[in-house]
Amino acid sequence: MTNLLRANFFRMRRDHMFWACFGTVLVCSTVFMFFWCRDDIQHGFQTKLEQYYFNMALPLGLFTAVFAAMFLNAEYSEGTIRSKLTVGHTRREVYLAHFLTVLTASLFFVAAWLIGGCVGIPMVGAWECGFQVVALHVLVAVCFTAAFAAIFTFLGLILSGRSATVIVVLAWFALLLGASVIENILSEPEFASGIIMTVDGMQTMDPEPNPYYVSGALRTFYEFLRDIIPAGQAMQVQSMAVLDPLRALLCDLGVTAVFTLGGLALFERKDLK
Amino acid sequence: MDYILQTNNLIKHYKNGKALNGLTMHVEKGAIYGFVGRNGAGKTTLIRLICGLQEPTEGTFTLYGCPNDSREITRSRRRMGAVVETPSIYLSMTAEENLKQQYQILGLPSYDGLRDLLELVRLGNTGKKKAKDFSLGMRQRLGIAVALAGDPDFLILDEPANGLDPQGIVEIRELILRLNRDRQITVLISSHILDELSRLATHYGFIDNGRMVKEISAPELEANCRKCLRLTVSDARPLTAALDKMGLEYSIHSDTEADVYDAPSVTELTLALHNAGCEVKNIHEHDESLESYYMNLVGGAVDD
Repeated sequence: MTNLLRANFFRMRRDHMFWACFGTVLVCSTVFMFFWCRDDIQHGFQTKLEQYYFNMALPLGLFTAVFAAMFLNAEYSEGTIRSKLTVGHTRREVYLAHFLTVLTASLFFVAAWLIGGCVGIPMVGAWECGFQVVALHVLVAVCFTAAFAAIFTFLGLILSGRSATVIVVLAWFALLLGASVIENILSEPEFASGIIMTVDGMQTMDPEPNPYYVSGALRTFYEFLRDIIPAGQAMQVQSMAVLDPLRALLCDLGVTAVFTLGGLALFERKDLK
Repeated sequence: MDYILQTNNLIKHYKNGKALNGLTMHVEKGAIYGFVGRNGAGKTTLIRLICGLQEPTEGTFTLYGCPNDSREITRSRRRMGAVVETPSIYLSMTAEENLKQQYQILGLPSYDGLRDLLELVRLGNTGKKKAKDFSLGMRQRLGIAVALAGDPDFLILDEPANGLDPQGIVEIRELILRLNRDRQITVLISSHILDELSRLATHYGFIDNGRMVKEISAPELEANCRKCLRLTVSDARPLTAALDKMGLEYSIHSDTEADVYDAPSVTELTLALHNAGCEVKNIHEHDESLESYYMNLVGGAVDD
């Protein structure tokens, strides 16, 4: 598999899509951080670096999806996956080498985001939340990136054909949509306190239980669902609100393992053309 | 007999039916094996199975004596190169980069021999030109170079002349002949361009509806496709008497039609038949080509 990995990295270094994604993440992270910090300074707001530092966590999955879709699709459309199997590499080696390549590229995107965000340090100073908090959020970001890489490698290698490229990218939007829906459900307040207008002015009503608030086992289930969807974790990292880091990491591990093992099993039986 | 590839009763089912229906074939070491069949006969399916792109539904094959269900088959495949359907090349890379990529896939310790390989397929001067800007023939030759990167002694080419112009076809033919002659590479070529195949192949396998109809060597085929004079006469009886008298080899097809072998003098023949009281209504040279041999073998029109 080392040979396949070396060959994939050789190709990745020459891949325009990889550099386009890397450059976009780096530029976006740098430019956005610069403007956010500059605006806050101009308006006299007290800004902390961490307020904006994790904003790029959310779109990160899109870059992984785009890279994986294009990189893996070329293997089928240009028929090069055949030359790997024909010379005696096993399907397992081919699948794992591709997963590790997509993961490596994605980690480069994470690095581009983290490096680009550092442009804010000379403007507003370093993180005030402490190194451990930053490191924990970066760790969760790395892990949900691995989960994204596993999902997109699965889709890219199991679904061959041109439609696979679109499906991989759409999958990211679907995950994001799913996570947003769950986030909305979970963000419903437990009590709703309305305001009524009377002749005496505005009056606050007594808080009443919110019928849309989910509690108990259902809430735990939704929280678990939010953690198991990598885009849900990306939302938590973006707002620096990772409620249960251990559960998040275990979920990432589980998603990565399930998609990789499932992908290996299906790829082993797939008829290639 | 030393065989590189043997298949035994191979069957491959797809959702829409059987692509291979008990195919048995034998590819001798050192041969250029022409694999002939109409579109959809199962040629590419067989190649996919041999290359490990698909698994047979039933039946077995051996590659260098190694059974397909053995773990060692991957080791046997390292001695093989293949161009299946379209050349497996990265269009965004140059010819040299494509070969470097393949060298890395194979785990070769250095790029020694890379330039020679490019020269062999006449792509030594392509420089920084990307494969996407190559002609079809150049891509096909690059595909063959990629397949040759591991120095294989068995090369599988699936329709290598497809879409090529006459110049490209000649280049590919010369390349295949050079590889077989100079490097002793056994070649399996699938094609339905029979005229082209007849200039290359030392052995033929004719496939139809997923089954091997006939395997035959080129000399045997030549013997079966002998030149003859096809005569249409008024009566075959005086004809046979005259031919026997002349000591010629012949075959009678009907009361009025016969083939005469051994290239007799047409003047002598017609005079002898005239003297025997046999009227010659039609006479023409008949040369059974590979195409007509194949058509006779499989029966019916080729629906290419």
